Amino acid sequence: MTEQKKVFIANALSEIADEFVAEAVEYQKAKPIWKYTKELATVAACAAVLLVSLNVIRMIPIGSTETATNEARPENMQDATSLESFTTDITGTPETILENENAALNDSVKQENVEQIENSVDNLNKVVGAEGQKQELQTSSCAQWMSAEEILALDVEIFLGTVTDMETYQVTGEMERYFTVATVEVEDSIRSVLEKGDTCRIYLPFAEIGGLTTTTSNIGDLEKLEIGSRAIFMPRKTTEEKGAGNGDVWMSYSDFADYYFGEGVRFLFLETENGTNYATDVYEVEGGNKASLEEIAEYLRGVLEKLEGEHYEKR
Amino acid sequence: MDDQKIIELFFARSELAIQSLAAKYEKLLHKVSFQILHNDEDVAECINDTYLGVWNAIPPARPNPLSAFVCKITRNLSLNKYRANTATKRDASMDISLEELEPSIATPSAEEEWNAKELGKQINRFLHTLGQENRVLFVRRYWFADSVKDIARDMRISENLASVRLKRIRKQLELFLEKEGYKV
Repeated sequence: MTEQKKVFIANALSEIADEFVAEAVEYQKAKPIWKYTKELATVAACAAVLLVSLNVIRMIPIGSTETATNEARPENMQDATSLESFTTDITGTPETILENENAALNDSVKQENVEQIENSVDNLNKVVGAEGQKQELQTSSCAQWMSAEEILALDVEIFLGTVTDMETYQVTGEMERYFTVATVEVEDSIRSVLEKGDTCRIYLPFAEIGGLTTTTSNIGDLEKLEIGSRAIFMPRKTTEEKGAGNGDVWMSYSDFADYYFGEGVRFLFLETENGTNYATDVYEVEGGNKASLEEIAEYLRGVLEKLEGEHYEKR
Repeated sequence: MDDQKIIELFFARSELAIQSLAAKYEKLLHKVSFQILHNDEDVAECINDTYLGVWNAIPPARPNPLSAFVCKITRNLSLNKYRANTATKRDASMDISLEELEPSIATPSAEEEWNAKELGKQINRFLHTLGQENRVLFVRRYWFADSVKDIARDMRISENLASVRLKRIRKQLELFLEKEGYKV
């Protein structure tokens, strides 16, 4: 860059309005540097997880106007026979959840949480299932051998969007689960019922709690997602039959999210500083990892048109 | 101390005026100047000149916001010193941030005027189209010349995400300028 141009740009930047400069100064002040010790940070994280986990057993399926009740459950779903022991376990749960916490957590808060959990036990009826209904998360290891066409022929929706929120969940009791739900705002619908501007919630099979990450072996770049991340997502739609179980205890993904990921290796294209991270061995996009999300979207549309021909449409 | 109270001290020509201004803004002004000059002596000189500049400007000026007013004085003084001092290191933070932004801004042709004011207006119009976080990202990186690492830490995002978002913002700026007839 010539010196003349450098001076030119520097002078132009000097014209930036006072309000924007002040905004940047104040924005720094509004986000002070984290002052607390690691232990207190863990306390805050555990308390946040506890509060969030109280909402784990809420019933209203995302996107549905119907309040789920016992009557709304599929006919062959039975109450968990281990509900009683589950209940007992739940009253002990605050201690379990908070076992890594130090004594800084207020006893009155603990008692309040126990009461809230006990009041929520009734809701367990609505999530725990029984045999015949279990559809554990498919590991998608078979996708390892699939071509791009075969993967795109699966029942996945495809959209480009930005993560606007991330929530961590911890389920304890008869079944332990840790997961994250990302809220995504859609920017471009490639093959989806969602349209630009819509938001959706996506179940992610990993969680970061108190500095520790629980994850799966084929998580790929899903665990790199954070608020602000931009990507092409290829998740599956959740249903009551899709979820996770242990014995007679069942947790349905549809209670938390509209979509879910089994794995992130072949079903996510994550924007990076230098291009995009994705399975370049499967998707032969010109430019490889240097391709932009927009270029990849164009490639995917091309494959879909070949696959579906005149029937290619958003779904 | 509240900015209005500091301004009143200047109006009263009180000895406490500059002391109060320094107590509140010296650290920030040091950062603004250091990103350009990378030399403590020159930075100290610019900051002292800033205080003199503010003393001479207030009254009659009643700047609002005061923070932007003093930062701009410091920045302009630092840029002048930077240009005058040919020995200044050329790998200053400001150089790096300007090099990053350069591809998004067209080089005027020989016939066109290098109108920095006009470009500045376009940049302001562009900044109005951004959300607050992205706008702060842009201003911190290219006006304050903060490092991506510092910006990411203060905004509590990863460095990678900060870089990705800045890249996207630069692309948006390029498209915006092109649309406004300012071709790259």
